[in-house]
Amino acid sequence: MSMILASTVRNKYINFYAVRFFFFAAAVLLNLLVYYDLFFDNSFFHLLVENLFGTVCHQQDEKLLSFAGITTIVCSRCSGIYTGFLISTIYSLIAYKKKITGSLKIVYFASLPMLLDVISVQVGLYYYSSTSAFITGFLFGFFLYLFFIENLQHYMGNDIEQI
Amino acid sequence: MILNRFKYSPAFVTGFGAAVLTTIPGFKDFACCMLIPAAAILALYFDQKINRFESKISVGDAVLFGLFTGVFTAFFGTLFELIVTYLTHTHEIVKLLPQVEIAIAELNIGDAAENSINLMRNIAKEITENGYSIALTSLLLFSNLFIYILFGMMGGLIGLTLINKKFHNKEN
Repeated sequence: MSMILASTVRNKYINFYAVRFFFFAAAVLLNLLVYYDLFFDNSFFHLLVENLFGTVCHQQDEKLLSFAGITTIVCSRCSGIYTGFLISTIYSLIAYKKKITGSLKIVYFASLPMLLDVISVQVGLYYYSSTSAFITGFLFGFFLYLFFIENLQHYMGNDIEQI
Repeated sequence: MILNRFKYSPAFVTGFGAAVLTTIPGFKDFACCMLIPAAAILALYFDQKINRFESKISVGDAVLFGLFTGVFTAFFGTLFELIVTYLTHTHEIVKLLPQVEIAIAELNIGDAAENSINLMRNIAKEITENGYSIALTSLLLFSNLFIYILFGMMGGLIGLTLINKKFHNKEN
């Protein structure tokens, strides 16, 4: 009985590791597209990717992230969220057996700097800064994914084998 | 009491709302990539509210609610964009055409890209002349469906963790 239980637990770990790896692969793909110019040199496909992401980001020229002679496909805040998501997936793969806090408070605290930054810019407290947009977006993406993956594992519970 | 309610009606409502919001100039600056996931989360929340938070959300339900939110947003978003294109007789693709032509010329792949360039030229011509293009409709619908469904499903899964954590924490 205990052997069956141990085997089930081990299978759950292996299966959920696959789920985490799936999200990691998705994050890599997403970031390859966001930092398209860093990895590829094809202006036609750049336009295609830009057009595709145009449905989910305003892509205003002055709000794009520029570094090392390239500009990102999406705005600094979105780039931050996607980068945070990628780093978070790597962390969750490395530390997949560690118990990470899945508290809702972590999402509230992580989204607070981003919300404050958005509101402050909108009401004119200060001008838009790519750095602050990227950092606040990064924090949000990083902690939202950690909260998400930790709770997803928790709520899937016994249904894990059905994935 | 409404019997046989369409299960995904909250997704229909929030999908429609998200599509309307995408057409508001300046709103994208504010909501950006979180609009569609937020719509999916809201759809799940409304569904739970209708069912008085009786049972926790399953993974399948979360994914399906996200998917339907994406589908409805894509459908209405495309519809609104086509209406605006019809009224104004212009579209982003018309403005992009010179850039694409330069990009294709830079690639130097000769006739290989000729078909796609001709397609874009035809679309631009049809839009400026009639305000409508079937090819543009298909392109818009395809790209909107692809991105919105993806973001909707992500939103659905995030909604599952957020709502279950907040309202069904004791059940686990």
